[in-house]
Amino acid sequence: MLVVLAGPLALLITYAFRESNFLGVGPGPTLEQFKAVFEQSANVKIMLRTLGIGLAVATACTAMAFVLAYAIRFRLHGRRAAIALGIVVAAGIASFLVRVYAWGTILGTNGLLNSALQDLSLVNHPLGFLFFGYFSIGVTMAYVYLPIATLLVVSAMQEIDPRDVEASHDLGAGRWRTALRVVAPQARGGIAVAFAFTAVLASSDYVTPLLVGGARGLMVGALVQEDALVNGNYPASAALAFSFLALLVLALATIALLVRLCRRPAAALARLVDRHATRLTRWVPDAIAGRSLSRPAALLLLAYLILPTLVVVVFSFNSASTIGLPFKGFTLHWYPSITERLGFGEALEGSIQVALTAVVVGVLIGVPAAFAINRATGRLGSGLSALVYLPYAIPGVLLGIAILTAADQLGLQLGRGVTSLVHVLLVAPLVALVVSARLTGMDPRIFEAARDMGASPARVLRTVTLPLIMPAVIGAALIGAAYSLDEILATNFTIGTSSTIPVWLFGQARRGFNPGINALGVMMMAGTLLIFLIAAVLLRRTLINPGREPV
Amino acid sequence: MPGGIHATTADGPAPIPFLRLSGVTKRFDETQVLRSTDLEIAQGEFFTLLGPSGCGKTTLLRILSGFESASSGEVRFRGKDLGRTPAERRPFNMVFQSYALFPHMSVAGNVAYGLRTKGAGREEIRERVRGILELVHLPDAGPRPVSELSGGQQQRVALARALVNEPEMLLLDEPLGALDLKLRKFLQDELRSIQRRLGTTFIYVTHDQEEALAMSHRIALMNAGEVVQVGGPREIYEQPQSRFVAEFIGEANVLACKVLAAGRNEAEVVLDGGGACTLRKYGDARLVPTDPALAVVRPEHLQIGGAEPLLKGVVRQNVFLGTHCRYDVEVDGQIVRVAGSTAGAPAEGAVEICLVPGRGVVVPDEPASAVVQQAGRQGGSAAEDADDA
Repeated sequence: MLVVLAGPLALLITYAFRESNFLGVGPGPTLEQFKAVFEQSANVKIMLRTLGIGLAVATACTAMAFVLAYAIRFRLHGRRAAIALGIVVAAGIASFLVRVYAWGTILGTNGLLNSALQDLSLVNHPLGFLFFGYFSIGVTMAYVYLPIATLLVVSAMQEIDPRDVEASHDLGAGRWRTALRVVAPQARGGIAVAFAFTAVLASSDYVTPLLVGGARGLMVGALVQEDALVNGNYPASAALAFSFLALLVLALATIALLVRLCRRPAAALARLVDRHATRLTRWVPDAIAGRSLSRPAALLLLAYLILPTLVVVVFSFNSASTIGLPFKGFTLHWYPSITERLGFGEALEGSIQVALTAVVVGVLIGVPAAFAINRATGRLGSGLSALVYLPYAIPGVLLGIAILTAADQLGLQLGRGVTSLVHVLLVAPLVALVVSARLTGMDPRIFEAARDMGASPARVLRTVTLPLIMPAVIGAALIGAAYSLDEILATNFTIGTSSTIPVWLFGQARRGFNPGINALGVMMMAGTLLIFLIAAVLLRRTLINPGREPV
Repeated sequence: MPGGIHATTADGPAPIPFLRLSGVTKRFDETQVLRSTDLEIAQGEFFTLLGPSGCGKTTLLRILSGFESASSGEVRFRGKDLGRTPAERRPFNMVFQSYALFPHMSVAGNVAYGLRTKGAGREEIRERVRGILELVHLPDAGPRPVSELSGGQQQRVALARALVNEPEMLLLDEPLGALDLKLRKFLQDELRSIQRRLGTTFIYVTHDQEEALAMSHRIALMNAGEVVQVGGPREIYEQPQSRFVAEFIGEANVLACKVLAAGRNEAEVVLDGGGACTLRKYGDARLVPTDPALAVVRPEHLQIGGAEPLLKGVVRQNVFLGTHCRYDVEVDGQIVRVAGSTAGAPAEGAVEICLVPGRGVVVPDEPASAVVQQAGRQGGSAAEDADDA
């Protein structure tokens, strides 16, 4: 695993120091590529803009995620909290590509918003800034990465005792103060992770800029993609990718440092605000002070998560061939029509083959890895579990070009095989994580009990361990399959002349809108959601265990 | 029935003991969790390892079960060294604190597990599972999933799952620790009667001294990785050999005193700020005249008023406890607890405290144990909630 992952990355680093010529890659080492990156002011400008967007998206995402997570954890109860969490999870799961595409149909020049504005005679011609620009990229990315940020913050808040919040109210703190001074500091780790995660994801994303950014929305990921795939200049793309990565790490480190340095002044400021806020808010009537703001805010955010996908669903049934209001009439025509397009069958075959390979190999690697993680203790254990997360910490673009250059170097034919390898890198850790979580969740005494009653280690494995982890294995395999079927960021680099459904759909979507894309998008979302639902049911059953065994 | 702690040097070859631990120790990295331990346990005994959290009692049990191996020393079962025998080959079964029931099996599946492992026939398994479930009063629970059972029922299933294998020895690791007080009391009686009926040797780990007193034939009281005293419940309660034992078991006033004269089984002492009296003495500790020592007196061995007043003090509090009441009497800044009758008018103000003749024990001077300070003092059962690490 480590070799497959680290090898290409190391190779990619060396590529960044090599020359490129017409024949391909020249000998190195040279700093030419880096010089080229920084000599072009356009490159530097785009890098800085990308960084700006990444950080802005991360800030917006983290703030919204905090509000949503706070409401889910502390302000909504029972069924409502479960439904809200379910919506967040479903939004995070439903196809990434389709959710990006959804915003294209809303913000596009002839998209929903512009045509609505024109119909209402509010504007005479389509508003350009809505589409093809950093505004639409920002809105789309904030939407796309809100679920994952929310889940990270929710899991951090899970550790906080809800009685802390009650105690804070009991001691006279209002809702704002409780959220900012009791909840936020305790969820600090999760908030920081959510920020860093969304910053990395957003600034390395090239699908969103290509789909909704247009000519005025160039970002680094798109440049890297172009260098590698269109120009075939791997050293240039590698240098650009690593330059930007270094910039991003530098930026995140600076932010972390600033946060640390500002802790004391911030605390002083907070105390000052506290003192005056108490005096000011004393005049607010009880009935208003007692109202929760986070609940309506959470409702708005949930609507933000649901509505764009609903637009895709609705317009997949619209008989008009352009996207926009008014709704012409109901049709199912687009569903079969998209599947008849050139390349669909091949892409579907590719998707299925890659997903199956990735899941089978991923399980074969992931399950033993889970046992190793579970058994390893101390430094070895933490090292192993860090390794498991590594493929997720590496931006998809980087993984993509790393494998691409490695395949090039080894003379491997790009296509389903290489793509399967990339997907194994993503599925195996997932299996390892889920199964090791299951193993950790089990009482180790259960295995001792089996041995105590005379079972040999092999018998314990067969009669106790495997039956207990099987639902987790199947659940993880399903999640891995759904992930593989939807993966585009890395696949796009490694699939070569072959294709998978997301890659094919991406190509279709870039060519212009077509209601058939909506239809396929709906099918993809429904497919991933269905797979996840089955996985969720299976994983839940492992927790409750209603297994019966007649004697 | 149970034999003494120390093997008696009888004439002829000594009989092979049922279970014998000699010099057993356990280290985890730098921590010595078990100091050299010698114990002998007779067949059919209900033997309890009692002590505060982290005293090493669970470690000792796990060494017996085979889940931990001793760092040194040996465990002999019927004369055979168990050092190299893995857990699955030992003729013992264990009831785990967390029950450790197999969540993917029914009650009957759990109970039958050990029998299946041994390759018993279907009919035999069915019969024995039915029988053992009746014994633990769950005759109809067989087909139910274990997750549907209450804590008390799960505990019974765990017991049945172990007992059905007819082990030579049943090891119980705080089996009642997770249950509420009422259920615990009820199951204590039941465990006790099952043990007496089957005659199986029980090794029982608990931190609840009341539980240990109520159920055991013999108790080994442990502290800081060491067995500090072994004896029957009555002996442990009435004849403490150290301050720790006196304070861990039941309630005790510990009063500083000075030795006047010491014999083999008793000593004459004078209490600091009080009178002289004769107290019992147990164990091997030597007491020398004029040395400081500690008088250990249970509240029920003191009374307010009497012929020979030992201490003088002021009643600070009178607590009604149903069967009796308890006076908290301040003597020289120390609170002395005295049991009193609930009949008649309660004593108030300045009082004299007397010792019930023939009661009270003297033990060597020793600082109070932090563990007992925390747990033992408050009615004796506060330690029950602490989890054994």
